[in-house]
Amino acid sequence: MRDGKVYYTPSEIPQKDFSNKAVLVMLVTVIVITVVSLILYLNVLSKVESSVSGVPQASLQIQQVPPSNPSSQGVVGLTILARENTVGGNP
Amino acid sequence: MKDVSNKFVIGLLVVALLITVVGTIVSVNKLTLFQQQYDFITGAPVSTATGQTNLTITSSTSLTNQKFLIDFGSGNVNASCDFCQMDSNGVTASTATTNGVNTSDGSCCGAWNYSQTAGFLLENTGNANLSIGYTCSGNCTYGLFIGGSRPGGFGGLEIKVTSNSVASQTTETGAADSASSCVGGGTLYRSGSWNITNSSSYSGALTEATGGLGEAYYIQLSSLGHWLCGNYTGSPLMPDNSKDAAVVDINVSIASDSPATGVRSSFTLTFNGTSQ
Repeated sequence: MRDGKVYYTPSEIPQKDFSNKAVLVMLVTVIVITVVSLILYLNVLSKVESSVSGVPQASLQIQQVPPSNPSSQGVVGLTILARENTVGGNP
Repeated sequence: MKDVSNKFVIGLLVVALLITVVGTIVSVNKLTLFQQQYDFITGAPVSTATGQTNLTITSSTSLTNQKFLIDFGSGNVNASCDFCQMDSNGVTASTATTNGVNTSDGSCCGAWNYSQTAGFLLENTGNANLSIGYTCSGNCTYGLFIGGSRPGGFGGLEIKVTSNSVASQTTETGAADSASSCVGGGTLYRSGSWNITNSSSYSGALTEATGGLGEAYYIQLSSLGHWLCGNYTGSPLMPDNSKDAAVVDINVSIASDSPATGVRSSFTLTFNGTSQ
């Protein structure tokens, strides 16, 4: 120290540094952004969950339609012709 | 240990900040994409907390008759005979009398088409069990359809039902039956097989008077109709291709004194399927 001043050699010149206040501000910023990110993430996650939450609860309903009563027809026919020279039959 | 500078601490915080921001962006992005993708999955519920899928299975009941007309044609009983007997299955009757004739002979049946080879082939072509009955319209009795003196020992106008695994008609819609149809229905509807009846009682002897006759028995046609398989409470005719069909045969015996019909005498059988 000469003349009331502090003199440094080139290797002793102190590097400029951030203040503790700046570090504190940065730390608070990181915390705030982390919290906001977490909130945003959870928000989106809850939306997705609500979209897919119905799948495990889905129910299957089977309905059997009452059947109709089908029908089908058949015809039987014959013709009896008159017979000549018959006594008492096929007039 | 040498203290780290605030600059170094700030550097670490910046790195942490970057990781947080980038991680959040990537995560939210992926979640959003997943949600959008899920919206396009068919059947996935998207608007309600619970999902419901409806599946309707339609029961199809179908009864087909592969032979619509049994036409014995036109003719008369030959003068030397007392009657002519004909059957849709062409099977010879075993109780021919002296002056009668079997279907295979034809010497008493003149020009009638006595060489029939097929009855009404009923088949359950749906996917549900059925009960089968018939109703009749037209000349449904011997007196109306033929008339004259009914030959002794013959019903005059009769029907018979036989599982197609026995009758073996070849025009089934599905595969040919290999097992008896209309079986396994329990005592309420004669678990044995086809049964021609309009009786509500299903106990006791199996006779025409008490409750109808079973498979391959002839019984007189009824203008009121009959159940042929099952009833209103049970439907034993399954839709399985191996046991879903039966043949209804018609047997007629025409006496020599039966009056000429002038025009064709006929009756129509409507076979009705019922499913519970």
